[in-house]
Amino acid sequence: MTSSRALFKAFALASSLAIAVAACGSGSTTPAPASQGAASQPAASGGAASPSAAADACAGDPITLNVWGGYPEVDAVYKAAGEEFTKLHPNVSFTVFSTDLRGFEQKLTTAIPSGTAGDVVVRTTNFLSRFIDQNLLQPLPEDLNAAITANGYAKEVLADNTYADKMWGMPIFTGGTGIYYNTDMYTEAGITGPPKSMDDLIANAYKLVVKDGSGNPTRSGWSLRLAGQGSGVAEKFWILLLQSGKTLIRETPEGSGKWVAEYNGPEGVKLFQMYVDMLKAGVTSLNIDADAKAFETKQTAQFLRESWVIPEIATTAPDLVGHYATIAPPVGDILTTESMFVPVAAPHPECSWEFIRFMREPAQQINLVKVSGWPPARQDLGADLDTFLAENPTYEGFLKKPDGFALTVTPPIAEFDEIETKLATHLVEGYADFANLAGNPDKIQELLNTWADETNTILKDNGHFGG
Amino acid sequence: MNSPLAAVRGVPRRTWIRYRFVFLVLAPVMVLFFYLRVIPTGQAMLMSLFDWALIKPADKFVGLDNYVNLLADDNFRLAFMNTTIFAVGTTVFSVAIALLLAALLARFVTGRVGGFIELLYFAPVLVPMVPVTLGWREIFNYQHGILNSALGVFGIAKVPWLSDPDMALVAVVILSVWKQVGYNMIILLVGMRAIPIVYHEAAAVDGASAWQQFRRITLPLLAPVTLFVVVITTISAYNVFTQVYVLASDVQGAPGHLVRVLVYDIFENGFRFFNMGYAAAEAMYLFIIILVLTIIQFRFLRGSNS
Repeated sequence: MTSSRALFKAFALASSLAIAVAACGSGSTTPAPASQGAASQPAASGGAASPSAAADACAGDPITLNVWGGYPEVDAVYKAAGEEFTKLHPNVSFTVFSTDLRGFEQKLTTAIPSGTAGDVVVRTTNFLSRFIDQNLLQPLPEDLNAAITANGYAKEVLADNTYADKMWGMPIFTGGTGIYYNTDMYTEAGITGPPKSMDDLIANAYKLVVKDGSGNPTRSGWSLRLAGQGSGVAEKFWILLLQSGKTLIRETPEGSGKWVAEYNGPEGVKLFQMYVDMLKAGVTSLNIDADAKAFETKQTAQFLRESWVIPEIATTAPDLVGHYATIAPPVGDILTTESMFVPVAAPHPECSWEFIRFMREPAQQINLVKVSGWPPARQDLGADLDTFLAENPTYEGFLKKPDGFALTVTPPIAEFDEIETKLATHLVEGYADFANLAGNPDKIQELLNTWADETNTILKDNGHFGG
Repeated sequence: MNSPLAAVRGVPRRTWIRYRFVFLVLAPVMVLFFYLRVIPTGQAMLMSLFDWALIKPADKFVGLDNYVNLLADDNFRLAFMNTTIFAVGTTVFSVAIALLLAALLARFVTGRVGGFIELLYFAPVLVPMVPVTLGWREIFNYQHGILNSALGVFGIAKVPWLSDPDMALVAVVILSVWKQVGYNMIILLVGMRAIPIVYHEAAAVDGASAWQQFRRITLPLLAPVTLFVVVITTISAYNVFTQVYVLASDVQGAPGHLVRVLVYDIFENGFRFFNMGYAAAEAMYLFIIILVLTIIQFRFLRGSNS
């Protein structure tokens, strides 16, 4: 027995030593971050931004290009484009990978540094800015840079696509919000026109709600974004805040690169109050289905979302087609630009860029909105886009903006997602406490100030506070 | 008391030789364990002392700052509180229900019927957590969920299981107890069946009731197994993640309040905010909690055995 106990102790000692050695071993260097990519390689060869200009970029051995994205509904676009591209370059084949956006971002955080990401990666410049800082992504080739800046793209798209005074990806499609409203429900409620102001939206919501005998809504007047993980709750709050001319964080002074929370001003208080008032009045509810699902099942009369919902409605709720319309938010919107990037570790960068040039072609750009519902980044598509809109008027809210419409882009600071996500967490808690907060602007102000302090602290920690 | 090193020296050579086959067989597993568990744990300890943004070199040593900052972090404190409530709730209910079921099965049901019932209760353990959670999300649905319908039969008002912050935590506990109870029941049942029947027979001859037999014979003799189940369930509960993630994941449809737990917070800090050093410190707190629980398990087990 003594020997057995001694043996056990021996094992215990060995394990302890092993842990210590492991720790010391790692201690000799700093904790190994994911492997650093090589220094930024020279850009792909120049030339005009057209496939024919660099027709031999994919010549040689068989090549498989892996296209990675965070929007599964766009996969069909890449696949169709890949098939067309293969006709021009028979030695090139494609695989397309996508998953939900957050899962995709998580995958990128390990795949790009380890050199195992796709040959073409589709995401926003803002998200990928940390990778650009580490020289893990190639800069945009000169010809594409020249083509993009020459014409055909909104200045907000270019701004959203720029980091460190440079462009790194080729804008492929944009994300914007439209107001979806059920025209039948509007007519039943005696509402004659589309919502053209925040006051319209709010007043309509109170007219459109349907309640059961207990006073609980069975159909919300407006499906506000009230719950869920991630930053989406704060993003929707932000869009509505833009309608009053305010934003989440303001660059102060403009162009300084320094930011300060702005959502805790009187407009933010008023907006938050609108949320909790509607919850208390039962115009919307935390307990009924929400968002696209609610709209498709006629459990809400109006809501805000991106244009991908339109093809989804055509598939999952075809009886709704022709009974709803979209309109742009009254004053302004957030514009996000999804761009195509090439990692430094991509084995065939020339060919990757060649495919990206191909994706810029009008035929592929139009196919984007036709197949996935996402508006193309290029605006100089002329008659093609007009014809599409004439045939698909439900896209009006996304492709036709009123005069003076203001587009806001994501602040070019890497910590913005943390700011937005943490604000979203607070907003969800605040909405859940609507019974105590409705009709209590002082308490709301106090809450918003607390949250703004946290936002400003994050900005300070990252050297971006300008208060 | 001998030092570990002296203990190693004290092992006779013949003992090493006698157990060489054991060492040989264990070696590959130990190497894998060392590579996959011990080294990453050591690295996590180390990175928790750095300001490491995941894809940047960890060149800024911050000492214990991450640990200190976490104590003032509202999200961490909320996550710790939620996780502890969840762990206590899940452990208490899943062990108590499992104990009851095991006692009933051991005493009244045997043969194929008993095996079938055991299988029924164990089935949830075999199903992956994601589909299980998706199913329970429908059960918890405020409007058309079967749970609220069942409560309605008894005149109980609908409960906002997924949207109320407090009830969302209760919902996660219910789901997890349902998933865990079968596993606990099987372990406890095996323990009960290992108790020699003569003790119960002798007690019955002396006039002891079924409850007295359970209280005075079954429970004391089952103590080591019960402690094992309690600690394993608690450790598993502190690692809760999938349920809370899936319950709050459908942003396009059913409402779901996110119950912030430690592993979710670690995931968010590390992979969403890129604060990997901070997340590592958080993971070390979780490690310490689990380590303490494991030590308690060993102490109790050793005490019970002796």
